[in-house]
Amino acid sequence: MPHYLITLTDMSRGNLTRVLREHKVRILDHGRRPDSKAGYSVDAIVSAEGIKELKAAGYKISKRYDVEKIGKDRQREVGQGNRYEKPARRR
Amino acid sequence: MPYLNVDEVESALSAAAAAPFSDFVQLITLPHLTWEGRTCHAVRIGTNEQEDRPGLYLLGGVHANEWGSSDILVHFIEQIEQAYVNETGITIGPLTFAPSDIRTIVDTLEILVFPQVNPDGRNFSMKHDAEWRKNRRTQPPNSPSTPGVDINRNFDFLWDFPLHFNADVYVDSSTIPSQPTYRGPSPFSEPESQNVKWILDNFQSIEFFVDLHNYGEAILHSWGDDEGQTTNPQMSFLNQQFDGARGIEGDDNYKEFIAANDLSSSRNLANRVRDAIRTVGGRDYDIYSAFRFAPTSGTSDDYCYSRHIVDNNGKKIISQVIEWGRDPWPTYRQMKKIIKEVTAGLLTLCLRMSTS
Repeated sequence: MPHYLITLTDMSRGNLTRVLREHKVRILDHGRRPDSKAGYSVDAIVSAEGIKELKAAGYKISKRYDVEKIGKDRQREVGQGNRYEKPARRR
Repeated sequence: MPYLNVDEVESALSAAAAAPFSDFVQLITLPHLTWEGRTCHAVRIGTNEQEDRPGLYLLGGVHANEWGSSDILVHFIEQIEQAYVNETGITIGPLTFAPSDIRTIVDTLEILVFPQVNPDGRNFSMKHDAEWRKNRRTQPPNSPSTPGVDINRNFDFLWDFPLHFNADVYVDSSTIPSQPTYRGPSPFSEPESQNVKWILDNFQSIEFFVDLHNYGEAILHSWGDDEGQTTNPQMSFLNQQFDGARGIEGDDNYKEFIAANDLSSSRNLANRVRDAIRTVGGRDYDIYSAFRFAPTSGTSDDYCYSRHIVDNNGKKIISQVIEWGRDPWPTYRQMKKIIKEVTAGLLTLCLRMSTS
C-alpha cells in the first residue's frame, strides 16, 4: 500500500499533538515548524487510508508525494562502483 | 554526478588523508565496528604549528536516509585541502575565501570531520528502503524482523524520556524497537554513538559541534528538551526535582538553563552561517532552538553541550544542528546547490572561529 508524505497544519499545537497520539501518525522530526499563517505544521508519512481518516477528523492536509516512488527514484541517483578507487582520481 | 555510496565515502576519506595532503589531514580509525562489521573513519584537518588550537567537530550521516550530509562533508574536506595545497582560495558563487583565509583555517584550527556515522543504515537506505533512518542492530531487544536504533535518540542526555518529561507531552523518541525513533536499550548502547563520543573524549580541543541533518532549512541551537532561559541555573536537566515537568511549551514550570553568553555566541555564529548560505544559495535558513513543536531526547547536540555541565572539568562545546534542504530526498541536482551553500556556511564558521 502506498504511503504519502503529507503536511498537517493546525492553528492549535494541542490539536496536532492529539492527532499524533490518537491516529498514531508517523511524523518526520525535521518537518515540524511554527507557521505564522497556519499556526503549526508537521510533515508525516501516512497511508491513503490514513489520509482519509485524518480528513474525516477535520484536519487540514496537503499531500506532497508518494514516498516509495520518490525513494526508488532517488536510489537510481546513488553512485555505482567506487569513483575513488585507483588510479587515484578525485571527483 | 550521483550521491556518494557508502564505500565511496570511506575511500574519499582515505584519499583525503593521503599525499599530498597528509601533512595536514590525518585519517582517524574509529574503534567501534558497526553491527554489520564496518569500520568507520573520520579525518582531522590542521597543521601542527600551533598548540591549544580551537577545535570544530562536524558530524554527518547519523540518520541513514539523509544521504547528502556525507556528500556535503566530503566536499568540504576536498575544497579545503585542494585550496590549501594549491594556495588558490575558494570561490563559491559570490563568496570568496582568500588563500590567506584557508591558510588561517588550516594553521589555527583543529577540524574533526566524521561524515558517515551510520554506514550500515545508509547502505540499507540506498539499496533497499530509502526511508530507513536507524542503524541495523538486530540483537535483542531488536530482532531481525525489527532491527535498528535511532542513533540520534541514543545519546546520554535525558535519554529516559518517560522519566524526565511530562507524561502529556509528545516526545519524539520511542521505547519500542520496531519504531523509527527507537532509542536503544541504554544510552550509548550503539557502536555508532560510541564512535561519536570517542572523538569527543579524545580531542580535547573541541569547542564547537555541528551535526548535519536533512531537512527544514534551519540552524538549531541548544536546547532541544524545552524552551531555554538564562536566569535560573537550578532549572537544569541534572535536577531530578523537575523530572516529569519538562517539555511543555509556553509554561513557566520548566525551561532549560543556558548561559546568556553561550546563547549569544551560538546565535551570533548561526547568523554568520545563515548569511553565507543566503549569499551563495539565496535560501533563508531560520535560526531557533532545537525545541520546536515537540521536545527531543537523547540527541547528539544536547549531549555535546551538556558535557561541560555534567563534568565541570569538561570543555564547553557550543552545539548546533544544520537542517539542510527544503525537502527530504532532494534530487542530486538540487543536492549540488545545497552542498555549495552549506559548504559556504561551514567555511564561514571555520573562519569566524579561527579569527575570534
